Amino acid sequence: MNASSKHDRRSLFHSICDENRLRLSRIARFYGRSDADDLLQDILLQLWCSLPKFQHQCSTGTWCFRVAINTAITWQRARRTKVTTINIEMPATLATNTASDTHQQQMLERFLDSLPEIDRATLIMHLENFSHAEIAETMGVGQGAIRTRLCRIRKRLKQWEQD
Amino acid sequence: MDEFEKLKTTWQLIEPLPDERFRQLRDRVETAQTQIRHAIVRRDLAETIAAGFVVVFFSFPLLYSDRTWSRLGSLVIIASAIEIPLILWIARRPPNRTEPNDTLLNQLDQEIILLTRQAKLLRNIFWWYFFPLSLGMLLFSIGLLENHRPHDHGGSALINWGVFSVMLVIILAISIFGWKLNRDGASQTFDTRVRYYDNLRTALRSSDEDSLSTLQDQVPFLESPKVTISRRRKMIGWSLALGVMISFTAFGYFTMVHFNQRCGRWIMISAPVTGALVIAFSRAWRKTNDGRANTP
Repeated sequence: MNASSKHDRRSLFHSICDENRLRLSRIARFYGRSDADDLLQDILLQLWCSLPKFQHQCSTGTWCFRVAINTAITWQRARRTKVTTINIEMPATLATNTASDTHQQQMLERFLDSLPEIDRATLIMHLENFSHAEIAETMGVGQGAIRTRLCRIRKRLKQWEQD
Repeated sequence: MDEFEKLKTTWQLIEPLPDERFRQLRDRVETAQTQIRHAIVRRDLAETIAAGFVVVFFSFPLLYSDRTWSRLGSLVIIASAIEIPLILWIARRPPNRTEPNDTLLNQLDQEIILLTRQAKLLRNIFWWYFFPLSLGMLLFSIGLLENHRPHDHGGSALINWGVFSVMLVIILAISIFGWKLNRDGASQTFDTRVRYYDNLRTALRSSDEDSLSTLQDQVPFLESPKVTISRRRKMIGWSLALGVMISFTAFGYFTMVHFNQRCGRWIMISAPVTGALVIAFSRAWRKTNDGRANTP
């Protein structure tokens, strides 16, 4: 499909948005915190603008995630969100979750915040069920490097749980 | 078992944004991005087609007229008709070649360059659009006057010069009206967006927390649609009135010179009256529609 065509661009944008709605939402919620809407709008804007340059060399999911994560990181850098002041706005529906779930989420977000930028993006991709090959492609490194990085994160997680 | 499995389950529990909200954001971005691009492309296409007609129409006097002024006027008009789409095309071309996955900042820079070009184009419209066309029309009209001297057709020199003055006033009025309309359009359509993207860029570059919090107030695609529709209807009404006036004057002039002086004169006199009627009708139509829009 040629993304340069206007109709194709629109339908491709819609299908990418629909397919990746949950992923994009989670990234916006995690990186954007209480300003998730703002971040999501910027991610969508970036996706729309980048669409004509999408070469279809990778899957739309990987490409979409790459654009989203780049935008989110740039956005967060600009905001310089402090790791120590985590205050994730929990949606009303989440109130139905058990206290344990909420606690787990807060712990996860705290752990993610404690990671360096690239490690955090790698782990998020892993949590989003991307394969090592896809993560490697997005990060622009080899699969071996991703395995090593995940191994390092795993060790760090163990240590972090003990602390 | 993967140590990350527990994390995966927790991560998946992060509540996504409501479907409706997500769609709203997606549509807002899409509308904001497509509307303006489509409008630019449509305008450029219409200008190019119109330019084609102008070139064909004025080629005849350029090739066959025996009067220097008419030929010169036609030449100027044809040159302007070729120049206008070229300028529009140059303004629309992408600023730079970018990488497939460029950063948001670079994308914003590109967008700002494109929109700034369009705003500048509209602000300077008098010099690249109205001035050369008006000059050509003026020279062409002088040629026509020369071509149909009073003694040749039994008409009065005063009437001919009167007609010429009316045409001159209309050309001037169109130029000023068009220039003002486009200048307003530049500030309403492009400047607001440029400001939004510029603020977004500044916010992304700086760590100033306040700059981002004020962004929401400046998002251009949150404008009230009713105001825009009303403004657009007003513009359509005025443009239509001007178009009718020009057509009547041109047709009247043509009739007066080539067929029947009295008939032509009456057609020309009726031009401003018809224009005024069109404005009155468009105002009534606008009021009815605005009233309907206000009805809950």
